[in-house]
Formats: sequence, C-alpha cells, structure tokens
Amino acid sequence: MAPERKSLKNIIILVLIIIICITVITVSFRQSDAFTRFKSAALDYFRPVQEKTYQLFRPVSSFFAGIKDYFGLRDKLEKLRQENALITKDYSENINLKIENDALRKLIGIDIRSDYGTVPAKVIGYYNTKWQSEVLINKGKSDGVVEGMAVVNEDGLVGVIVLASSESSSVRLLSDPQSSIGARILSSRKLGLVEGSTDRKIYLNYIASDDLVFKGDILITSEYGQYIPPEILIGRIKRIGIAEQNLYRQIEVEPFVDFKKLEHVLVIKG
Amino acid sequence: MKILLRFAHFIFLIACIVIQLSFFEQLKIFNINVDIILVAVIGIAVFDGGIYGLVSGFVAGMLLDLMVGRVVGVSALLYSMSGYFTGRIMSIGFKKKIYIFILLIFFFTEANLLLSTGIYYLFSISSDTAALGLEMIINPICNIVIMFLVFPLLKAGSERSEEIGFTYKDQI
Repeated sequence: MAPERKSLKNIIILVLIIIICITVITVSFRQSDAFTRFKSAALDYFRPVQEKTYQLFRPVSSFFAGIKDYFGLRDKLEKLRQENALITKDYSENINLKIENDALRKLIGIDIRSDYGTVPAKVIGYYNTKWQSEVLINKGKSDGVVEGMAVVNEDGLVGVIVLASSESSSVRLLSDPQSSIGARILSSRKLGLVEGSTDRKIYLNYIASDDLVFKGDILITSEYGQYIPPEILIGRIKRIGIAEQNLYRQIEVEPFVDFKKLEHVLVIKG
Repeated sequence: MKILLRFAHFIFLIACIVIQLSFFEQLKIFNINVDIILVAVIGIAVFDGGIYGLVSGFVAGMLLDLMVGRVVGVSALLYSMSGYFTGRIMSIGFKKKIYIFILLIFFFTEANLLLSTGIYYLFSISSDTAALGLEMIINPICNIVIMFLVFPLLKAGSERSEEIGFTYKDQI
C-alpha cells in the first residue's frame, strides 16, 4: 500500500475511534445505566483472573502500607491506649444500658433490633483516581447482592454497592467524590451528609454554622437510608472549618475504615 | 508470525489492565501514580506502529472504563490518541533510544492528565487543581520508572522476530 493511502487509512480509523469515544462518553454521561449490562459482563469475565492477581500482589501492597504505618506507630499506640481506657470504662455502662433498653422496649411493645443478614466478600480489585474511589468484590447478584447495599468491615462503613454483576460487584468508597451517605453525630444527634471529594478527603456537610460540633465526635449512619442500616460507625470529626458568613460548617471526617487495607468485607443485605 | 507477536502484545496489555487494578491502584494511596496501561500502549505504538497503538489503546481503555470507569469512553479516547500520536511521532524518524522513550512517556502522561481533567471539567465534574499540579510532577516520573520494566518486555518479542528473520521476510 502506498504510504499516503496508508496514512489516510490510519487517519480515518483515528477519526472513527474519536467519534465512537465521544458518542460513548456522551451517552454514558447522560444515561449512566446505558452500559450496565456491558459493565457487568466485563466485571464477571475478568473476575477469576482479577481475584487471583489481587491475592498475588496483596503481600506487596501490604508491605508498602506497612512502611507508611511504621512512622506513625508510636503516636497511634498512645492514641489507642487512651481510647482503650475510655472504651473499657464505657463498656460495662453500655451493657447495663442495653439490658435496661431491651427490657423497656419489651415493656412498651417495640421490637428489639435484630441483626442484619450479611454476605462475606473478598476485595479483588481497587480503582482510585481523583474522580472515583471504588473497590471490586467477589460477590454479586447470585449471592443476593444488589445496588445500594451497604458494605462494612470490622471498623465500620466501607461504602455502597454501585454495580452488581452476577459474580462480582463494584463498591463506591466513602472517599469517592460522588459518595453521599446520611449520617448522624452520635453525641448531638444532628443529621448531615457524609460526602467524598476530589481532594480525597471526606466531609460532613449540611451542619448549620450555629450547631455545636466538637472535634472527635463520632458519626454513625442515619436511619433514613433505603438499604443502609442505621448506627453503623462511619468515622470521627477530624477538623472543623471556620464558617464565617456560611450557612453550613465545613467539617472534615476521619473514617474508621482504612481503605488501603481492605481485604475482607461484609455486604449488609438489609 | 508478526500477527502472533502482536497478539502476544495484546495479551500483555490485558495483563497490564489486571495488574493496574490489582496492584498499582493501591499504591496511589501513597502518591505512587503508575499508569502501566498507558506505558504499555505507548510501547506497543513504538514497537508495532501507530495503528496498533491506536487500536490497543481503544480496546484497553474501553475495557478499563467498562470495568471501573465512571464515564465510559474517557480512557478509551485518551489511550487511543496516545497510541496513535506515539506512532506518528516515531514514524517521523526518531530512533528507538531510551531518551526518546522517556520524552514520549513524559509528554503523553502530562497530555493525558490535562486532557482527562479537561474532559471531566466539560462534563461538570470538577477536580482539585492543587492535586493536579502534584500529579503532573509525580505521574511522569512513576511512568518513566515502570517504562524500564514494560518496554524491554515488548522489545524482547520484537527483536526476537527480527533475529529469526521475520522482519526480513515481511520486507520481501
């Protein structure tokens, strides 16, 4: 083939691909569920190899996580000691309160809160950019997982299922800029929204500037989520911004879950 | 035989997608931003030609977008353009030298960062500009480091085909 014709052919293919991409981007942006079937298929197709590869590289990524943790170990230990002392003190008090609460609920005829059904899952992939933070897990629709369900681990809320294929699912982490979870401040019972941002920090929004909020306050999920059960630990308030002439405070939240160490999670079936 | 080699490169690219999602994405938490898929696409374009870079970039980007992308097609567009223009730049007459590869990786990493920010901005998804500045410094360095691992693997196959005469046979 003559070089000019070959070059022209290449340019035609390039233009064609650009047109396809722009069309796909527009459709995908306007109708986010237009590609759900293809996305599910891609997730399912790559799941077995993805799972094995993730397990293979897990020790290496844990090693890197370990290096970072090592430098803050002394401070963390001191903080944990203080926390442990407080928790031990509160524990016996809470047990007594629970017994009293259950007895009172029985007395006035309100059901005692039952535990939720869960599906244990393994993390098999991770995707973290400025615009999204997601993990892939090895359980999907065949295990009863559907979009909107909450995902937790032993530390608290991890995120929400955004795409469930038959054998695997995508979990939108709390730090994702599009993540928005109804939350309650444990001490004051104030309601707000815990949202991710493009700077990879998590904020508690819609707390009025005249509301009393303290650094260290614990956040739990609110009772208004469709699939997310109430009273799941989210995190604690890390920093409270000055809110001059603002209706709402800017509150930064430190999540209880360490997203870089996610390995095993539970999907709450609600 | 050349087709087999290109097929091997394509399989390598698919492996890169899996490795990116299984390993390199986790390192991003420590500000180690490696985009092995972009490096592999540029490598394929360098050793196999622009059109292969274009098609590989499109397929790899589309697969990545379908697996984890928020807006499907963004990675496909960026990777395919990177693949095509790498091929065009190499066809001008640049030699396959390390410093050329470094410049290519540097240029296309920066271009991809700016373009992706621009595309997301067009779709009203804003991003942190301070983070973009940091990424524009860190990402090319990380990609250049990983290039020293990816390019020899892609080159090994290509050189082997030249050694045993396939390139010569193709010329006939």
